[in-house]
Amino acid sequence: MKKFSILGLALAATVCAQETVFLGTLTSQAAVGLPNTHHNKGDFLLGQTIFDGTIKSYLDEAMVYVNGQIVHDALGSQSTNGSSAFVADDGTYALKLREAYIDWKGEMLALRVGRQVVSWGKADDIQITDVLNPRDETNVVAADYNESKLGVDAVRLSLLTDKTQVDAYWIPFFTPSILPLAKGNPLHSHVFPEEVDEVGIHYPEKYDDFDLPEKRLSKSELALRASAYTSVADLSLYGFYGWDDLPIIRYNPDIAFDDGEDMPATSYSIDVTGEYKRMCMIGADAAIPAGDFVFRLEGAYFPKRHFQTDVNSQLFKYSKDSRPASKKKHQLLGLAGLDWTPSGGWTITAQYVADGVIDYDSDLDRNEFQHQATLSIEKSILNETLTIMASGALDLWDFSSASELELDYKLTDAITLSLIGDLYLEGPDGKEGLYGEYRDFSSVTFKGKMSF
Amino acid sequence: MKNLFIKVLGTSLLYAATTFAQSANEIAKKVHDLPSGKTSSATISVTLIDKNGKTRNREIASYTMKDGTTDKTVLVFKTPRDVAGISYLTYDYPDKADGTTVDSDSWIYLPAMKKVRRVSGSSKDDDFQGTDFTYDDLGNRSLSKDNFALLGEEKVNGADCWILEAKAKDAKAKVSRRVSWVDKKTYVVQKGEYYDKQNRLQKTLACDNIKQVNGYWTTLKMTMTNVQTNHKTVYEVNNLKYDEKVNESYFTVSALEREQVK
Repeated sequence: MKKFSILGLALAATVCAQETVFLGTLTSQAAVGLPNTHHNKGDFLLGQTIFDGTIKSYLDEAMVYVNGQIVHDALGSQSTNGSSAFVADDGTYALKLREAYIDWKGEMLALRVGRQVVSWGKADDIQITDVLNPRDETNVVAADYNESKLGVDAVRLSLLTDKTQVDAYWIPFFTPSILPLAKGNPLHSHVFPEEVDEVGIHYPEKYDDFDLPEKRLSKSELALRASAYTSVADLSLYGFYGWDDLPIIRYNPDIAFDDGEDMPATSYSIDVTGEYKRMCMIGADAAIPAGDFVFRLEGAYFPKRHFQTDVNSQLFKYSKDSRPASKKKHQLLGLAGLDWTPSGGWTITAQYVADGVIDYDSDLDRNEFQHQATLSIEKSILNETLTIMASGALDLWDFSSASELELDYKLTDAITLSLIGDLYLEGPDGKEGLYGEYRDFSSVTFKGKMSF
Repeated sequence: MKNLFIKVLGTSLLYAATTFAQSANEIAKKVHDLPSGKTSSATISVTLIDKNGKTRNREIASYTMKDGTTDKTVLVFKTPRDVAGISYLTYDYPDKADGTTVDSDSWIYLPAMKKVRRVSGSSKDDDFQGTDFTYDDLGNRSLSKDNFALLGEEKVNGADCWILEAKAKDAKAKVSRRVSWVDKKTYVVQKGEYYDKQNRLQKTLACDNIKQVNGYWTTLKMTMTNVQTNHKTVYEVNNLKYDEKVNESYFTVSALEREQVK
């Protein structure tokens, strides 16, 4: 009995030292296509109710962190990558585990084990060095870059001092981005059309129809970050050896002949498969404060990255050996930006991003060089009950653009109502550029969110 | 944002006078340099009240530490829930020998982004998180930013006070003039007035529950009223502890990123 009492006291002491916090949000949102969206005009492009729950439990120098979501999707647009979400067959319900990790900190060492979201780089909503986390690519309507990130199962070992931090990551299991595979997803028919020019196309229906890396030690991902925080600047260096989160798509012509190969084809279709490729990245960034400004710089070099070849070149040369689905090229990405916070509750952010492929071939499914500028202006008024945000990105090569206007009104401390307008425009002469392909997803979104 | 919220409550907005012989500058310096503990921790409760009486509440965990001549501050929002976990880390430095100010080093952690972001350390006349206080109101405003003058004396809350005026040297400053009623014995401000660019009264400050905590004079409740908009902010300090051990690793960027500060 005495033994149990001692055990009970020990447990009680443990419980007392433990602090647990729950944070939850319930979000309901619906989006409708604008009049310029052709077949999407007046259609619902988004219809979701999302319960998001986070538990943080602190015990001395350790913490357990779990974040998950239950999603109801009226359009049935949910799909999975096999590890980030469990999704109903019709895409209407999803159970997601975004993060679940144990974090421990000692004197100079720290360890984080489990599913985690990692943010690298100084860029806003642009991926330069931020390559560790795959993304949920199933939605472009009122999409948030940070919310779309998926956790990776990783071990992170950190060496910490007052002004420096070195993080080493081992990611044993590859997590791909989630693709819009659900038939109910408005993006599905855009990304995976069933036929083009009356030619049928057979796409993968599930995530594991793609050629995923095997679950072997040799297929692991490794990453390293070293950062310093000083009065003059914050500086970071990055290294990554892993997998590209999006697959390289191979288009395989499927031609049937009546009688021998000299006869005209009687049917023609295209089988599409996908394969994930290795990727390496070396990068650096800096944030430099100067008065009301903070200047941000970020650069990355991707040696021998696999780039998709375009569909026509793959189909034109349809002897198997001469139609590579990808080619390995060096890539350089760079960003220069500034944040300006003049008085009066304004926040202004501008960025310039350049992206070039070295030793370019014309059959690659992208431009040799592409660059864009982004601008974001935010202003809070009425003692921060109303926030107005306007942001846009202009493709400086083809002059396609994406812009968003968002009004957030705090009905109470807990409830926020939002009205969001997204507009995607092609460049002059119908040039698609970086954003023109999304023109049919221009929309207006109504959103209500309660935090508790 | 020097020792935001805590030291400030003891010393900020204080431009005190001790004797007639003292100049306004000497008084202001003495008040500016009032002791406030090597460390502190507290829970800050902020209530915003609009002209219709509707209230909104914020709760913030605050930790401060002196590291040589650097004042380090960490703030973590607990409520409202939609901003819970947002954290600020600030290093404030003393003025240079020639009297010029040194920008703070400031970082903000946004849980939704999972990222620590460097922010400008120079904008201090902005409202703090939608309240009627500016960062400067809550911080230990640099003496070199103002010209000081004694306007007289008056009894406030039963205490004999000097009336000290601080006129901003910057003609574009959002607050052109601050007038403070400073207790002659304790150097603690009993009330204050703030004037806008056109020298119109914009805000009034009422100080209550002024106590010695661990030997340091501290104002535990402040009410700032914007008389132009009839919006009011009540700012209260709870569970205040000075000179107790604070986890020094809280005052690092990595602690913010790891969501280690409770």
